[in-house]
Amino acid sequence: MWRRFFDTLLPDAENLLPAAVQQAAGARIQQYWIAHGWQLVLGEAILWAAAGAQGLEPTWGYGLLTGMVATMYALGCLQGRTTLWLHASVFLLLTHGMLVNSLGAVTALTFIVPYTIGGMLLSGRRRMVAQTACLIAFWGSLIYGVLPVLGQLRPPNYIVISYDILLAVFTFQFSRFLSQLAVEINSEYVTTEIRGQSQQFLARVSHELRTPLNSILGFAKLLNRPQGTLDERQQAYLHQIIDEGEHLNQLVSDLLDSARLATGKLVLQQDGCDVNALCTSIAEEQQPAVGMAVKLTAQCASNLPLIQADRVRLRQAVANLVANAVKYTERGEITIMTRRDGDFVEIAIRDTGVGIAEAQQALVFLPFVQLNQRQMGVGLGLDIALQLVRLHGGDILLTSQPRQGSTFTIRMPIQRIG
Amino acid sequence: MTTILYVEDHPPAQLLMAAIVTDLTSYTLITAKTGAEAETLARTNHLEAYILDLDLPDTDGISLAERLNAIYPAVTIIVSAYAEAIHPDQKYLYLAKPLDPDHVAQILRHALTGR
Repeated sequence: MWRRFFDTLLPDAENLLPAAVQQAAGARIQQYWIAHGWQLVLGEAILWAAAGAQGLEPTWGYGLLTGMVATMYALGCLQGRTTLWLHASVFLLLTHGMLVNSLGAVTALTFIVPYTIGGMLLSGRRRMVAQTACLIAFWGSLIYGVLPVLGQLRPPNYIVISYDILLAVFTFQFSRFLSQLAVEINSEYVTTEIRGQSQQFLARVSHELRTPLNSILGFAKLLNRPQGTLDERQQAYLHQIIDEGEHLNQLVSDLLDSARLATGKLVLQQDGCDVNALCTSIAEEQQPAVGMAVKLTAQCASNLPLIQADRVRLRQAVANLVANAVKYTERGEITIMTRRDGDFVEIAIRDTGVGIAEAQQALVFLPFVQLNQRQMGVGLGLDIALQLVRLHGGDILLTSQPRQGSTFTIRMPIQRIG
Repeated sequence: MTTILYVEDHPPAQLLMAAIVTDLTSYTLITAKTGAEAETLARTNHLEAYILDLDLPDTDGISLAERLNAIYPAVTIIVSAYAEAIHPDQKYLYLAKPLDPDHVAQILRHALTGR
């Protein structure tokens, strides 16, 4: 029981924050101290002047207090000297409390600030030293500052009370900032951790899923040779295996792309890209997937300039939009149109499909959202397309009328912006 | 007779590559499970091409490619199920799993006859 009691009094040597997070927190604390610490210095200087004007003894004592706080402020402004500042603060605050009777209780309170900062910024032995010093200083100033006063109980003068108020207000402000900072650091740290972990997890999952897919698809394709001995029904079964296997493979790739886009890990390999050639080949490629009652065409503007883009990724974005149009269009036309608009090249994919109500138009680009639950897929196609286009410095616009059809327009800058 | 070495520790993947090479090409395939085994085979056989899985029990495909090419330089193809780990460069050819048999055969023929 005693051990547990002392454990609660003594700080931990462990600090779970990684060095980079500590450094960021240190910079924020320093910024705060530079922006607000001068108020404390100014407040003490005014009170020193007031004590002098009143002929309060000892006036030099008040001057010394101001000098100490000013030293703390100056030390805090020094780049990268957090530990020095912390230890100096503890020492100066302690002396501060000893100089003026009845300042002890409030001074004790002020040690919350270096105690918390020490906990955030230091690790191991240094953390233990800083926090232990704060605790000793806390009890020291409380006992030294409060107990003698209890015996004497001199009538307090307003200068001393003003000191108390100044220190207390500053301490509460600083503590409020620190607790806010702790929450921010924590959530930022957790977010980056989760991002890293999920990235690793997805890489592993994709590897584990692709390994059996390699065998399934590879052997199925080897069986599916023209000179094979399979009858028609067996061929049909085999096609099912291959189609579903390809579909599964696409899902794995989409999940990975989505995760890499979300974590900023996807890097573009930009080059001069012929948008017309890209759109024509996509129209040809998607032809087999289009229903009998749908006509898929590409209408290309002549004299379109080459644009700076990652060919593979832009192709993926356009193909996703076309595949989406194919999915939701039962009859009529799907047209891929290209044109130049100032510094942009536009690729519009217009369909005569089900269309999207205005209220739902903002939802379609969200990951894992599907407006029609009966459709296949996980709802990543449009999200990936939008993220890829935005990564190029472009955007996708949507105009749609329910039951009339939709037009998705990709606007790509001809030269990469920024 | 043109011999190709395939280094892969997953038996079904080994079997698939053997089937691809036997069914679709006229080359001979020998297989190894680890980098160490591959180096021994590269010293004792006359090999025209290396197909290396990126993820091996005792090494990775890229560093194994360096070592094998130091023993005897040959066409090198790196195969990976980590599509995101593939950064195409001039030195080696890269293939992503799942493999397409026709594509693999085409690449092999192209690489081995183009020399």
